[in-house]
Amino acid sequence: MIRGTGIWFDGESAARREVEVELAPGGIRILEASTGDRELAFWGYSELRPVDESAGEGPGRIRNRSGRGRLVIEDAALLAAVAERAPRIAIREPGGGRLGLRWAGLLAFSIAVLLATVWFGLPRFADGVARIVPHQWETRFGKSMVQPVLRALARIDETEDVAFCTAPRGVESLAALARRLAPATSPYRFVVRVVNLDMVNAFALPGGQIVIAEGLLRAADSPDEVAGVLAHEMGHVLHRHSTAAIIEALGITFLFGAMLGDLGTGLVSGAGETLVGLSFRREAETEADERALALLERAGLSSRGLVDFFERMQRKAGERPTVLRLLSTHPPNESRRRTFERGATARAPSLDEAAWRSLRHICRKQRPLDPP
Amino acid sequence: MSDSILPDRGEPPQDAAPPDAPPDAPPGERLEYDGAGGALARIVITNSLLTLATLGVYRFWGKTRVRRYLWSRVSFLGDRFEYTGTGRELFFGFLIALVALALVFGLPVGIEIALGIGHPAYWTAEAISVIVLLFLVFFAHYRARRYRLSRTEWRGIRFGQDGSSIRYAFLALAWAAVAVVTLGLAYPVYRTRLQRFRIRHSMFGDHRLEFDGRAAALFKPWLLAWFLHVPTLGIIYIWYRVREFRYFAGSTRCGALSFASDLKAGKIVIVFIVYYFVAVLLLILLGGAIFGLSMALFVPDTGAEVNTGGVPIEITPGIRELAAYVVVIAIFLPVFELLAAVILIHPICREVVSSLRVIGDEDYEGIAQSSESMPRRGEGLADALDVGAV
Repeated sequence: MIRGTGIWFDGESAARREVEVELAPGGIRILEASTGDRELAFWGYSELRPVDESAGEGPGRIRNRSGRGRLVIEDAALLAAVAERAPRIAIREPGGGRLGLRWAGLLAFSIAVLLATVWFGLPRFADGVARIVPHQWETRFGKSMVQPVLRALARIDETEDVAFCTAPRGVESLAALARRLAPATSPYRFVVRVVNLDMVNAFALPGGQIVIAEGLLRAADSPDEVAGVLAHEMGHVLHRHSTAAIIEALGITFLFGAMLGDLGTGLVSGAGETLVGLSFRREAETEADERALALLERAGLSSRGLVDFFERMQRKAGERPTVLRLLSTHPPNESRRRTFERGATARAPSLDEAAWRSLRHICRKQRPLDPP
Repeated sequence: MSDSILPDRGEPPQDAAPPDAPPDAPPGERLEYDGAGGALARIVITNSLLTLATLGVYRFWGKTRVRRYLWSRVSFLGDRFEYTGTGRELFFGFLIALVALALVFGLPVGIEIALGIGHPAYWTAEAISVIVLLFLVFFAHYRARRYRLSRTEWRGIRFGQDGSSIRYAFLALAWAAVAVVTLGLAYPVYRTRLQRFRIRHSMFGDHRLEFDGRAAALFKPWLLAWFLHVPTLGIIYIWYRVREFRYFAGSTRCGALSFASDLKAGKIVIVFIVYYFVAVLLLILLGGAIFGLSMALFVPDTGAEVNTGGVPIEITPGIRELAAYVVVIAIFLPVFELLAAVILIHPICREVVSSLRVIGDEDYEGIAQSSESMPRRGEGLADALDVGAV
């Protein structure tokens, strides 16, 4: 029978006892050393667990799975003998960790759950929350966001003095167009303005604030194209996409920041936001396109303009390879063009010659933004 | 805001100095630390890789591995300490804390959205939420300490901490306010009061710890530090904390045992200076890399696509931006964690632990296991708020 010495802590008091360790058939017997063979404890081999991960050098500490108490075995030979019999005890290198099949499974599972939650769950959640946000909140927030966003865009566009374009006849034409397109039941009052930025861009903020960049006006060949873009932006507002996007961005920032501790907040949330935002925005864009079609139809306007617009953009850019399409913010130009084909019956243009001309010259007069 | 870089260790007592000790050795038995930077580094690197692969979920198990290693490298009277916490406890604690945090985080944002940016009432909401956050940080710190102590064992006997986390948080807020109002001069009072609360509520088995330190004893060192803060670029603060640590150790007792530390400020200061130096170097390199990448990648897409998007805060993001972020994170985070572990935590552990002495005679058989229940989950709030270093 294999026997040796060890040190025993019974877990009831901080006393340290020298003991005899006997390797019996079913487990180890811990016997009092001084008074002979009084058994202090019996631990089955299958119940033995190591205490230290890094017990490669030095005495091995062993505990029982269920009970209290710790046994320290300093004799390397005895420890090896125990390790032979106990399935969960092994002599390990210092600093090592157990990364077996269980861990790999847990890994895969947790990644799947995380991705699913963030990719599918968060946009739905953001959408739902956006729906219950009161309209007045959205309007107030949107109004207050206009100038900061424009300033940010100005930096990207490398323009020093971004300003609203305020030539009166142009403003009136634009307002008339907006009135024509906006549904009577809209809970928002649309405020459409042009800014003197060169980018081919237009955006909508929560609550009905729509801004069109002068670059887009110049790139358009006909007023129908502008009407189409305007209808698209109104679609965004009516579907509350901007609000949902903000909520979603907050959600990502919070989720990743909290998960990775503060250090990760800036970097990872940016990446995460990009990933999630991409899929969300494509859906939003398609929704807005559909809504635009409906608005144009109701206003008696043709979507021919947008068809032409996308055709031109397509010719300029060429079609992107499939892989990149997955990661782009917008559905491919081709499919958007097809969407708008549906409403492209020949109709009277949205603005007459004079109105269209005054709209194109809207930036003859400008009003700078308020100082920050 | 933490009471020390390390969690408070227990203070097991010791017999009188062994007969063959040199006659002029300081009284008491020392704690010993035999950790190795290399082994710790290996653990930290594995943790980093797994944490990245699991988008952060593994973090709690990683933390547990580090603590198990560090705790087991500290021994007293030849017997090692043990950390009995599990990753699962930390994970569930975190999940629960998330709910609480969502409220604190979401409230000012919700108000901001409702009122619009720049509304005057918004600032009041901000101020309130800052105070609430501060409260939560103190609260979380105390709870985390309770968890860590309850998962620390020596000779099979658990440490513990009772006392109300809420009371602690209020106490901390109040004394922090006093310290701020006095332009920092009352800082030792803040430190001493909180230390007293913590120590008096700490236990080893069924033995409660005692603390008789007074803030007055720390005023002179603090005044010196307070005046020299700016000229020494804050380094004098480290000196003060070492002084404070020595004083607090000497004011602590457990049963018949008392404690002492002969930690030298010089060594700790050097550790910190080296760490900051390397960290700043790394940051500069990293910053340069990120900046360079940004310049190369973030070119606005003006012609290729019609941008009629919703919120135009970003330029057309795409696969390039994504790849850049991933690469930066994959390199950035692990390197910094590794740095902190090997250059900061490991040397400080070594110095602090080996400076501690336990003085006096205590009957160990008389220290019984505590019958108090342990907290079941760990530290979620502290983890999410990033309180505490280890």
